[in-house]
This record gives sequence, C-alpha cells and structure tokens, in this order.
Amino acid sequence: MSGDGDPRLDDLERRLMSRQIAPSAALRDRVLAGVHVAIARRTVRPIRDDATPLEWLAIAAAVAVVIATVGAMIESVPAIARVPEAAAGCTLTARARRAGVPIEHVASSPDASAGFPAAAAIAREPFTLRPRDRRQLLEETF
Amino acid sequence: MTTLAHELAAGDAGAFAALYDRLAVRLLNTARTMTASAALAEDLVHDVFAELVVHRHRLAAVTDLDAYVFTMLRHAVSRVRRRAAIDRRARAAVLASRTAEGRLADRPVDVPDDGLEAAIAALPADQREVVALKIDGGLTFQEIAAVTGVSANTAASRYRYALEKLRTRLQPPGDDP
Repeated sequence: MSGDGDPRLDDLERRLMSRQIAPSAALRDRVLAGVHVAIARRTVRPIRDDATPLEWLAIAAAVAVVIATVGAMIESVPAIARVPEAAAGCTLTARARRAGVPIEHVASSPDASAGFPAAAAIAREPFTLRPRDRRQLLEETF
Repeated sequence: MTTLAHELAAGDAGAFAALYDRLAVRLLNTARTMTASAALAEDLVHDVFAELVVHRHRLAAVTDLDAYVFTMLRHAVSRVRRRAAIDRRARAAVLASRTAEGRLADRPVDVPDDGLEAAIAALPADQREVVALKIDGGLTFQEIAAVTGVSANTAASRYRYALEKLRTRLQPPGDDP
C-alpha cells in the first residue's frame, strides 16, 4: 500500500510508508506452490464439534479397531515377559502367572511358604486367568 | 460470509491466489516491520498461507477476513519471537563463554544502517506492532484493536507514543525539539 499522497499523513508517516517493499515474484510462486500442495494433500481432519453422526460413528469404529489391535498385540507377548517376578527369578510364581493359576494356590503350597516369599507376598492380589492353562500348570506343578 | 471466504473454505486455489494478491504487500511489510527482517517476513507470509489452507474449513465462520489473516500473522510473529528469544539466550551464553575463553572477539551489534530501521527496531514490541499494522497493514485503529485484543484508544495511544519516540530518535544530535 502507499499513502504518499494522503494529506492526513505527516512527514514521518510518509517516510515510514516510503520504506515499504514489494513482494518478489519468487515469494508469490513459493506461497502458491505451498497452497497447491496443502490443498492436494490428504490430511487427517481434526475432530470437530460439528461432526455428523456418521463421522462420529467412523471415529468410534477407528478407536475400537486401535484398541482391539493394541490388545491383541499385548496378548501376543509371552506372559512370562510381563511378569516382574519371572525376571527376579521366582520361577514358580512366574509359571503360575503365565498359566493363569490362582496365585493363592501357589502361596498356600509348602513350596511358597518355605522357599518362595515373593509368591506369598503377591498372594494377596486377586489374580485368576484362563482355566485351560491353570489346569495344565496344576498338573505340572502340584 | 463473503464469496471469497466461501471459495477459500472450499479449497479453491484461485481464491488463495486472489487473497495473496490482495494482502501480500500489506502482510509482507507488516511482518517486516514487526520482525525487522525481510527474509523472516517472507517466511511468515508463506507460513500464514500454509496455515490458512490447512485450517480452511474455519474460514466458513469468518466475517472479517483481513482482520483474521492479520491476527494469524500476529500469532505467527509471536511464535517466531519466542523462538528467537530462546535462540538469543542460547547464543549469548555460547558467545559469553567463548569470549571469556578468548576464542572470539567482541562483535559489533548487527543493526540496519538506516536510521529509520534502527529507530523502528528500537521501539517496544507493542508499539512497533501497532506501527506495523497501521502503516504497513493499512488497518484502522478499530481493526488493530480486533487483531491485538486491546481497545482502539490503547492502539491509538501506542501509535502516538511510537511516533513520538521515532521523532526523538531521528532528530539530529543537538537539534532541540
């Protein structure tokens, strides 16, 4: 903009306006190229408060898929890797946890009270899992 | 809502080109005065348009497009200023340690040669901002108030104080007002 001819401006204001520069053609090309790229790009639209019911349904479905996927990934990790006691060397407790044996069974066994204080310590935790593995471990261990 | 805003919200590249052609000079010079850097001002204009495109759906609710774009520019300048302040502190720390170690001589301060540019750069940020929006952006005090979040009277006062400071600073030495 130029206000050189505006009589309401004083000398200082005219001097300030005279220092203005014109944008280069390169800047215009750069900006408009960025505009084209941004328009063409597929972007994830933010969740808006004016989303339609169908959009909310799609969002809910996407969230459910993510939760199910993550859950499946966690489930696929060997149970022993998720048991801190296994790392500490408490094999009996780790095996019980891995197989889903109620830990009270381990804690109430003579082994637990005699040589596995960690098992006794965690016996207070509610811990019940898959019946099939529980039966297998009971057969192996006790 | 204007037709242009409709077209912008719909992602019409031609509408963005029209908006650029309408505002580029004002935006560029406003950013240049605010930041005292022509190169940075170009980056800011680019960033503002990129942000406009990404959030174009918001334009459907905009009533004053010019004020909206200048507000975006102001926010972009604020972000740059915060980053620059962090950079300056880091550089100053490095410079101080190296100077203390005798690895680097003291450097002159990098300010523009032109007295007017130096005087503008020396203004407080809030006054420089109003000068930029008024002189370079061509906004009214009402519009400046909308962009900066202060009252129109405050904007006018800041502008007046800024011009007084510029006049004082640009006065030749020994020349009484």
